[in-house]
Amino acid sequence: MASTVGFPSRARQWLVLTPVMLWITLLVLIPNILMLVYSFWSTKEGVLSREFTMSNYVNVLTSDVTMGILGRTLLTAVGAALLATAIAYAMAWFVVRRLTRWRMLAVLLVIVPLWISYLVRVYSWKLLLGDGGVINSTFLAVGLIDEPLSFMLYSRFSVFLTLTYVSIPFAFVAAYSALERIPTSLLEASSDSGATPGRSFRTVVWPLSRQGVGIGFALAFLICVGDYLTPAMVGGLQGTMFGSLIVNQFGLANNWPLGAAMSIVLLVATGALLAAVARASRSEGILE
Amino acid sequence: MVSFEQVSKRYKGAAINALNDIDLSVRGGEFFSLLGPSGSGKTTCLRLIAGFEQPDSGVISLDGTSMVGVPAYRRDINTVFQNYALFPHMTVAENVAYPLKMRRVPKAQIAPRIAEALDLVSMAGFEERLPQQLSGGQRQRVALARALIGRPRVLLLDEPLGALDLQLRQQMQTVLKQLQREVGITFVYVTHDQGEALSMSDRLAVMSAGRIEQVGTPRDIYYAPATPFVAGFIGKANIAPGEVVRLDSGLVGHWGELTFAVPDSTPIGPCYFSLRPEATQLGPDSGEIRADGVITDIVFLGDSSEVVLSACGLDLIAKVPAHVGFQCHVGQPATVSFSSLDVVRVNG
Repeated sequence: MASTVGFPSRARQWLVLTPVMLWITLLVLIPNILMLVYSFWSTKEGVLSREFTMSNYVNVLTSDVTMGILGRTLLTAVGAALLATAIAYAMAWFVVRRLTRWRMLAVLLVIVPLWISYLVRVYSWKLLLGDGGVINSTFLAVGLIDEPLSFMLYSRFSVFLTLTYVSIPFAFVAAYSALERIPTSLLEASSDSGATPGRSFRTVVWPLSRQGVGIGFALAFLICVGDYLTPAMVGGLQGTMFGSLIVNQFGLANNWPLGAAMSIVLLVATGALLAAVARASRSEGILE
Repeated sequence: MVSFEQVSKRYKGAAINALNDIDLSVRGGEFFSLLGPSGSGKTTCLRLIAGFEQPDSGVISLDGTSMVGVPAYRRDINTVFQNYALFPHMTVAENVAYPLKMRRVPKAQIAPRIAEALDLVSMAGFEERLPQQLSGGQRQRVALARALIGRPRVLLLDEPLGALDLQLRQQMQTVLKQLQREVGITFVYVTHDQGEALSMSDRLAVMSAGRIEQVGTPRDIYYAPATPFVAGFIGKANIAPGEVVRLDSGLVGHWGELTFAVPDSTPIGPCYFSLRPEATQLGPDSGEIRADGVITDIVFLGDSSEVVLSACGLDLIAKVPAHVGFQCHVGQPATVSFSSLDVVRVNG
């Protein structure tokens, strides 16, 4: 009995799962395994040598410059993602709790930049921050400054600012959907029980939304940590990020094994960080 | 205890007032119900008492102290919400302890009071469950325990039994009424169920379209409805326009083609008259007023039947035992009789 009933349903299960498996295998598993394999190979004068070596990892992990840039990249990404998440959370709170009629419009306005090419969005910051940009020329015109503020472009500051800006919509969507699910009656019940707005936030709103915040932060962080376009366009020399180094290895330097090893190092560092975030943002209880 | 003076409220973007010049006074320790159809303003009244909304004009006071500008978290009032509003990330014990924690009651005192509150609603043993692991009736009890644990001066209940099935609802009605007697806290209870309001309340206010139609004991409201709305909303009633006039022999009421004597104190002029179907009898013998007519409809209700008569220019519903209803048929001539004492004058 059990086998005759079980068989077709198991077959159906496989039918459903096969495309998913295929997708994961072809597009996730194989490329990553290839990258892992590459990272243990090496190049000599542009020719690939398929002998096992740890030299790429030794190079990456012992180079002060590379590790310095890795640390700076993680720091910048965490900082930008944190700031973006904080801004997005506040915006989402305002939209969910204060707006009714204009709510969808507000959500749309936050998300609309995503419709525009990433390149254009980053480039627009160049127009804002450059020596002849909107900010500097305005300040010059009103006499606030005598010469352009040069720290604003081609610096770590500009990379940080741009990364924060581009990741806000993603963090916003996560925070918005988390906050929108909290019914107003829970806030009223909290206030009714004698909790000040601040305590209501700490004991009700935050525990029920921090998982969404964690997801938003992770999204923002991933966007920031692997980005190489933003540093290339607004970063200059100071703003070099780890992603730029990796791109160089696969392009100009034509050293795929070293690039692969760098990618693995970044992957591990990022994975460890996100695991910690996931642990910290786990929340109990289900909102119906 | 709780009083409203000329309170009006209009929600942002709304075309009409949710409340119009409400005057109301709830006495200490009583079970007071706000009864009305949806949109009548009863929940708005409750939200104003709780402090979730502020009145546009007028004053709400608690024990003589004006509550204007006092936020919900500083009012000694607790609410049982319609959808329970339990915190999904907290256990039953944490939910119930929440008001004490927010009022910074020392930890050592909290545990015994949780036990006491859960005991009161027969939910001992459920301390470590999460709300989603409870049935609707159990959540209701936990919500009640959370609202009572802080021993508020007033407990507000917003259609707390609306989501429960009939049997559980009747059981909870008894629980609530007993609980109210036991703890002696003033209950303000919002409902659209007239049976619930009549059976549980010490006094009730009937509301319609943002106004209070009548305040009184269940008996007053049922037997002496002040307006046609109240007469029609509470139970079934035969309501139709009529008039009180003075004749040489004294005051009489004209109702359809019927004429009957009314007490000397009755105001003269056009009015409505209301007659409860259960105060009537089919047949000529049970009162001094007789109306001869034709049966136009018979509705079987299980334990009884309603016979509708077209008589003396009125459509009268008579409530009769079921077996009497079976002997009637539509089109049959019949007589309905009743006492003039049961015909209640209602302001037009």
